[in-house]
Amino acid sequence: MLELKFALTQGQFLAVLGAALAVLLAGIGSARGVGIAGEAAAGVVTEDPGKFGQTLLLQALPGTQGIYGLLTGFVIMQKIGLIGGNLADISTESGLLILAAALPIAFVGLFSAIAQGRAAAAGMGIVAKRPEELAKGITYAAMVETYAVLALLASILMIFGIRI
Amino acid sequence: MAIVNVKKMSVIALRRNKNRLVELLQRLGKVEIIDIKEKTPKEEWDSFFMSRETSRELIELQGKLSDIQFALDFTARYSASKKSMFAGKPVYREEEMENLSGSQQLWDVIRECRELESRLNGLKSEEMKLGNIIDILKPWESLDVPIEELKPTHKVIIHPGTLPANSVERVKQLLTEKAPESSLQVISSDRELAYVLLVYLRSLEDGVSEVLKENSWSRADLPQLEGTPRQAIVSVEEKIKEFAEIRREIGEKAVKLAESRPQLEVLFDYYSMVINRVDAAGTAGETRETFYMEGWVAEPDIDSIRQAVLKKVPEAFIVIGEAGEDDDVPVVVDNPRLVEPFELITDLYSPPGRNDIDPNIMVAPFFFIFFGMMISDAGYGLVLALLGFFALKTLKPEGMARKLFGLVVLGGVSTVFWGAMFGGWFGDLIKIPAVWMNPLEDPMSLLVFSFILGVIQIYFGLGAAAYKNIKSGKVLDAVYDQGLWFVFLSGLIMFVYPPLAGTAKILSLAGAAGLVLTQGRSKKNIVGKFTSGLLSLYGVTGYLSDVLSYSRILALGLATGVIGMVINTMAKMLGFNIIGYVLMTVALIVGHVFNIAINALGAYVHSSRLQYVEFFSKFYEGGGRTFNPFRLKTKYTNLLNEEEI
Repeated sequence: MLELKFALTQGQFLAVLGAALAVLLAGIGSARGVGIAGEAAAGVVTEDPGKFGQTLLLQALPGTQGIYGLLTGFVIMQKIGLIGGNLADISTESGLLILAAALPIAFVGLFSAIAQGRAAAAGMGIVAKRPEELAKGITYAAMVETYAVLALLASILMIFGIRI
Repeated sequence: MAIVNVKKMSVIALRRNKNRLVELLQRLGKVEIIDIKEKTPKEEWDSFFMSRETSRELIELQGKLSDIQFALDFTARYSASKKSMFAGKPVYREEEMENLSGSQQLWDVIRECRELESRLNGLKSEEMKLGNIIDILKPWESLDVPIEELKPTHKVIIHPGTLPANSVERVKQLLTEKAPESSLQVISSDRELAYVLLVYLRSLEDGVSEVLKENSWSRADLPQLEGTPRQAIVSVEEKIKEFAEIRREIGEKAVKLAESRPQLEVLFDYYSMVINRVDAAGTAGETRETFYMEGWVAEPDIDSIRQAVLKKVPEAFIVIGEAGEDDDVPVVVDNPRLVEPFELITDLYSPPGRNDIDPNIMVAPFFFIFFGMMISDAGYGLVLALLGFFALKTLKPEGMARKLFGLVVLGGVSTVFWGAMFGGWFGDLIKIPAVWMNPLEDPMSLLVFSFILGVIQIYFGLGAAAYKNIKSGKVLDAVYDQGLWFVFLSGLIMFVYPPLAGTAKILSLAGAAGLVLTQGRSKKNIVGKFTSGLLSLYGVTGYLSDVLSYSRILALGLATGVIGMVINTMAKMLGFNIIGYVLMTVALIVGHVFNIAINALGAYVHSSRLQYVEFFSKFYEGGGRTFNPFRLKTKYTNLLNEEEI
């Protein structure tokens, strides 16, 4: 028991947990968002298969959060030397800092991707009825993504700033 | 700025030259025809012109076009040759197209397509019918009596039928009681129904039918076929097999017909073109000898159009007039060739309205810079620029597609530039030192740089709004609503640089005071004026969030670079023997193609958003209607156009 408690407060574990959360939560969000948009897209394409390209474009938009999460996870892994194979010694304090730094993209990624998926799904209606206005549907979905971009920026700047 | 004046051109000429003029206008492609009939009240129209119904010719032509469309759709399924994405369109002259439209062989092809389609439909419904028969017969398969013998004789009655599966035993019981000379034979049963053959003496009919009525008996109508049910099923299945053969035959014929697709495509374009022409000619008002037409033209084109018209139709009388206040005038923008692709960005938002200034000249440099910085990988930029260039050269696209590919080329060029500045060549695959700095090492400087770009664009937006106010004579509004903000914001920004703090204080205080005093000027009483003035200062948060929004430039740029690195790192893990090297190459190519696609989309979306939300909100209204000239529109072919000017 004591051993587990020790392991849980290890800086290395905390840092890896941060990386895992970033990939995990943002990834879940994107999967849901892309799924929601995909369901609507399939509906549009049943009526008009020619709109596959346009709907795919719109469906791809909520996918970026997952990528941002992966990216943050990767930056953390590189920072703690997990990728090179030489895992650095990390104090509990630095580990916690890295964990905290991963939280913005993890949570904002999760929720913004789902919200963006909804906006994209609604945008499918635009594609169905007025395909020439696709750009407006894309813009609505992109408005949501702003916050994922900001969270990514915050996470990455924090991780860069942490000394280990 | 670059919005071109649009004028109304009216033409009167001899009626016999009408089609000649329309044909010329279509080839010129510079005039948007106005449907004058639509906006003229009927009585007024009738007092000037002969009344006119939709011509029979048009209906006939549309019928032909839909025939061709049908044949194209039908043969699409059977066409063997897949067109390469970059194959250009074949070029035709109109005479060649016309000759083709007279070719009986092509119309035969279309007729045959119709025939094959109706045969296929016939087959389909026949097959369904046969399938149903099999479904009906299946439960009776083990009945060894030919179907035609299941008929009542004058003494005995035979009925095939169904009973609920769970009541068979009870019915049997009841029958032995009420009608001993009967037999109930279960042929088969499933979960719900039992399929039974009932035989009884005619004299017992009353007793039997009473039992049956109470137990939901229903008589089965077996299809009138010969032989036992099993034999009948076999013969039906054989028939269905024959259908497959017929289908194959039809398919072969269709493949042969599909060989005529290129000609059908030409035919399609020819008839669409002719229909457009007849449509346009239909807008003309006609008298016995003359006709009258109206159209919108861009001012710079007027002389060349006039000359071209007079050359073809010498007697034509042309009047150029101003557009009326409530006319639905289209908007024409004229920009240098390098700016043209960026019109796409603005048009997708909303084309400029009549009183707008054309934002394209300002959108162009900012979009160019932002797009490049958001991808910021020279290798990706090269790929994009080359792809776009290749598409422009081979596809020779027009209109929106042309602008889109132009945008890809220019965006690619910008990406190469910024990629070189930041040292990104396919992530970190090719290590070329950064010309300026590596964003991963010093993200803060790049963040500040992004904000500076944002401030510059927002200042441009304010400037444009001021220009718009001045142009419409509201000089004071420009001073109050934009000038004072300019002073106030500049003051606030100067605080960042300590040596300027003194000036900063003066400027920001002066600006703020000015805003408080002027922003409530539309309010009636002094308190209202003051409070709205004070509240207007809250608008500074709007400007702040606008500027912060530009941080996405850095974020997306970093994202591309890091994902590129992820791809490279993962791919390199594979490369320790020969097979590994092959896999590594594949992983690199797939990974980077994916990264280019996702980031080009992201860079486009977010660069556009910065224009739409942060920039356009300062001055741009949009809501205009794009100029849609009457021109040659072809889908599959390019028409050799001798009249282009």
